[in-house]
Amino acid sequence: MKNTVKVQRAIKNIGQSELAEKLGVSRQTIHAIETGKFVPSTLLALKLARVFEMPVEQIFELEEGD
Amino acid sequence: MNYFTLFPLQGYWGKFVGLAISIVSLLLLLIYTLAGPTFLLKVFSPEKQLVSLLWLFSIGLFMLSFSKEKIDDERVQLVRYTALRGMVLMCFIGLFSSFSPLMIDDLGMSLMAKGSTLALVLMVIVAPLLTYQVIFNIGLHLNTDWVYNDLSAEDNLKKNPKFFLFYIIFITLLLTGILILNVLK
Repeated sequence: MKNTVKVQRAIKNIGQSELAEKLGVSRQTIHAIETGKFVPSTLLALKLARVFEMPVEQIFELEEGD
Repeated sequence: MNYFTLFPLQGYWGKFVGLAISIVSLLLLLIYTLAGPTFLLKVFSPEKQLVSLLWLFSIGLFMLSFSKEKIDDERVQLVRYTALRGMVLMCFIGLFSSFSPLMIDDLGMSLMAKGSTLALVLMVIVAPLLTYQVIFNIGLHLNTDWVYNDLSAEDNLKKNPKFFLFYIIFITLLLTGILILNVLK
């Protein structure tokens, strides 16, 4: 699964730590999501969408084989 | 969300208590190994002293392993699940090697019973808990890809045959080593 968390974070000018704090997760979790290693739950994805003020589909995208 | 669990973990404080117990007992085990058993409580036999220290070390590792992190989010829970799988596998490897047919002599006696319970304690309690700690901390701090890998053995084999071959060789060598050690005992 691809995501644009890093890009959206840059647009909003938010650091990993700040975003992590807003979502109630650790900074390493944000890093793991951005690098595509960890796929977040629906709950966390929706929280991300709320922070970035956009639909989840614009942040996460299915890849071939998913 | 409000989940109910039958086996709740201890709070973050458990990490510190577990770590303290583990370090103290490990230091005492080192002193025991280097200076001999007599320096400790003389009322206990040397074997009882050693088992007590191992028991204390295991309790420390147990507390360290089954405590929550400061920020216990869903990634930590996934890493914990992977580490628990590793721990259970190691536990079964220990059990399988301890109670294998090779461990029973011609008279039907368990070679383990003739020796001491130390090997069993190490294989079934300490080694799995140490495995858990290694996997959990690698996953938590180094954020490695394989911690999040939930593919089956067959899928992993298709995806990365070289690594899987290395893994199989490592496990085979580990099991062979344990079996040889048991037979030599």
